[in-house]
Amino acid sequence: MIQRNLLVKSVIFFCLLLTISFAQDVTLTATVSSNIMTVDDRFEYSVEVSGKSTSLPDVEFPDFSDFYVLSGPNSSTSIQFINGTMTSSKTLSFIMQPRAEGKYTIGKASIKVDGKTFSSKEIIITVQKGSSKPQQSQPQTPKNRQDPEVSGQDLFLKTEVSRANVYIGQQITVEYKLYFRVNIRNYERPKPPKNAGFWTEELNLPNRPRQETEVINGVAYNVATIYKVALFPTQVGELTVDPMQIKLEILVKDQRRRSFFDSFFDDPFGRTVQKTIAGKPVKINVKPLPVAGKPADFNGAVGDYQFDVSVDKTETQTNEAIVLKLKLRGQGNIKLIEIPKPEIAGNIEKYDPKMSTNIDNANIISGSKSAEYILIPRVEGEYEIKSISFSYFDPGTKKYKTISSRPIRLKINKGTGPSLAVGSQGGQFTRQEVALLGKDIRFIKEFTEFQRIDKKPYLSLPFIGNVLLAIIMFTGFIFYNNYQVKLTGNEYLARSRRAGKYASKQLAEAKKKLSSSQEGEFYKAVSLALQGFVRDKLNIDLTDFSIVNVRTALEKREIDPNEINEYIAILEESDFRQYANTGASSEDKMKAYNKAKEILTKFEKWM
Amino acid sequence: MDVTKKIFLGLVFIANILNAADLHDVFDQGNQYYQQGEYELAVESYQKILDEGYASGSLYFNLGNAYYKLGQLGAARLNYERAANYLKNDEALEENLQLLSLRLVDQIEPVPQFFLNAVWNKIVDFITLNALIWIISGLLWLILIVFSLRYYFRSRGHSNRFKMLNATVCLLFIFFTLLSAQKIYNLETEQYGIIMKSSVTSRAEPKVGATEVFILHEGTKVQIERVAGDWFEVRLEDGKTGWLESANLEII
Repeated sequence: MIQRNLLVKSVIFFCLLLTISFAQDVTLTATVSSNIMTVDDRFEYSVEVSGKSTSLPDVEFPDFSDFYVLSGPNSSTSIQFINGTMTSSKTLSFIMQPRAEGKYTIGKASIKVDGKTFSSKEIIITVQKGSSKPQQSQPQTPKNRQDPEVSGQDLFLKTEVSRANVYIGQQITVEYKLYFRVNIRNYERPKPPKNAGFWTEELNLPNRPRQETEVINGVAYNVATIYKVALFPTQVGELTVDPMQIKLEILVKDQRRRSFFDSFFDDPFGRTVQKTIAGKPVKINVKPLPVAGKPADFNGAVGDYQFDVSVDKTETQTNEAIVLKLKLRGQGNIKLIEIPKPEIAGNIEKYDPKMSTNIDNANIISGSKSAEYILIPRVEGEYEIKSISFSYFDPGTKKYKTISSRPIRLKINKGTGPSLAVGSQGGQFTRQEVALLGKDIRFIKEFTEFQRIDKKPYLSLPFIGNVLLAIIMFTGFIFYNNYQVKLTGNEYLARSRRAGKYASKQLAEAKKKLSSSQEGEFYKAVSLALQGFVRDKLNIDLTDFSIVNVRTALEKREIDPNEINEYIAILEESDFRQYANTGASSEDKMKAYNKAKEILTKFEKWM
Repeated sequence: MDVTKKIFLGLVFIANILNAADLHDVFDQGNQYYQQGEYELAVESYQKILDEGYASGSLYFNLGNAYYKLGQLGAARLNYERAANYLKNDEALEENLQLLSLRLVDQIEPVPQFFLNAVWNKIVDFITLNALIWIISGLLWLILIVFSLRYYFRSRGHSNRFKMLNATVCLLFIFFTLLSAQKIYNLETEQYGIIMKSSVTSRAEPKVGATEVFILHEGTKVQIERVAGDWFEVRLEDGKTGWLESANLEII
């Protein structure tokens, strides 16, 4: 029962498989030999049906009423076995000629398989004014010349760009494809274009370019990718992918009417024509990376990455090497990125890393970069290699991503080798240290006075109070002293201070009267100046003032006796002349005045 | 009002005295631990006093000794340097500091100074600010007394008494004021730190991953020039500068 069920099931499954595979493998392609022509030209319209079955159904052709059908349908069949799989194809072709100028559409050819309809694309034919082609025989031409017959339609270069709107650093794949419908004998290996603003990485292509067929507007072209490159923009803005130039040697069938003799000398298969073709430049818009969310350690990596940090052992002895490996893998501008540097504690010696880069130039640039550091711990203890982080921008999700490694703990045990440790246990002493080896630090101190830590002595209360007190007491004393002086009414002091002033006033008075005839007035002024000064200075009352008194008072002051005599002489003279009209000449007056002045200046010094 | 204030001040004074007595007990306790070789307990005791907000030269000296015995050279240097702010011309302290610096990894040759600078710095360093402050206030009293005397006599007609005394006191006062001004300036502007980690990398910029300039080891004294966030720009005795993360050093 179970077995029968299984059998039924498997048969049904097999049938299903057959039908599915058959239905899916039928393809229908319609092509024309040319889609731009003159009224006089003939062209071939062919429909190719291919599938995995030998019995391919009939094709329903479109309406050919705009054309003369000159012959057809001519059919050809081919069967191929590739890797044990059979494919058969049937080609039905018509030779046709347009009836008039204009634009015509050849409709869809279709085929019915298992009730499903497959159809080819429509083809647009442009018919130009007829007979413009010069038919006159051309002069003999050198073999390798630019041939107008190989027109742009039969041969062109296309620059195919994977995307035109990218972020800075994002990969663009550029394929330089050659479309051709002519027989290419040879081509010069193209010079790679200089793409300014990009970092260029050539992608691997097979030595002989693979040929594929592509139908463009009904015309089948052979397509070969001749150069493929990955570009990584390094600038923001509108950049140009440069076109490529390629030199080709093309085999052209001679269409000239041949004379009988020509055929001897010409290549029976045609002649070779050299042609240079160039593609068109393509504009690429390069966007800057978003500013929002940019990690601090971001250093321009764009793509998709993985980042690993590992050590070969986490526990070892001093002076034994540990290998720290940082590995970055992924797709993107990996060649331009630097591996982040690890931070290693100072007691572990770190040597310059061994760097290796491995880039795979397949369709998308990918690869790995690694840095191997050799670490030699010199001091025992537990250490930590801090987390190392790597950030990149993922253009797919348009977000920054950060990969942080886990911190690695290292346990270093004491090794057997000589220690280069900081401490003194090791053995490496400087000479000075050896001299001090027997010494130890001095013993602690047992007595102390504490003070507050945060106190600044120059802001302390005692200091500031002290200064203020001193200043206050000083000013206080000054005021007190002034008050005291005033209170006692120290006239003596006041007079003593006034003395010079009074004397000079009287002298000035005397000087005024020098020239006048009033002799008495002049001598009176001189006498007052002399008397007044000494009286005020020595605090002698007018009533007590006599020559004898003055002399004793002056002698007490230890003034030079000569000067005292001089003073008294001049004083007596002026007193005498003041009252007795002696008729002194102006010369005498001048003498007396000068003398008085002289003696007063002298006295001022003494007193 | 006045009475309550007086009582309050009196209470504070008494509380302080009591506190000081306690501090001395703790200090003696620490010294005992030290003598018994219990250096960690000694450190704890000394630290207690510091936590109370009190310090002294001897306390820092003893703390430095305890750390030295524990092999923590960075902490030992830090406390010796702190002690040096209180103790001047202390033979024991100088000897211990010398012994300690011989055991440090970094042996940095100081840049020679212009000799006048060196002499001036020696003089500035010779006296603690505390002592200087009292010298200055003493001189201020003296100067004002001399001024008063001069004024007294002048106002009584005797000028030019005590001329020499006045000049001498004035000069002394100016000298010591300059000295303390320099000291206060140094105190306010110059900051030193001691490296506390066994090995520290200094960088050219205050940024993780910036170019490495030099490596310092525990116990090295550096001058702090600038602060930027968590980073200090430090100057070594030989004039080199670089940036360190602040966690790596302790300010004296």
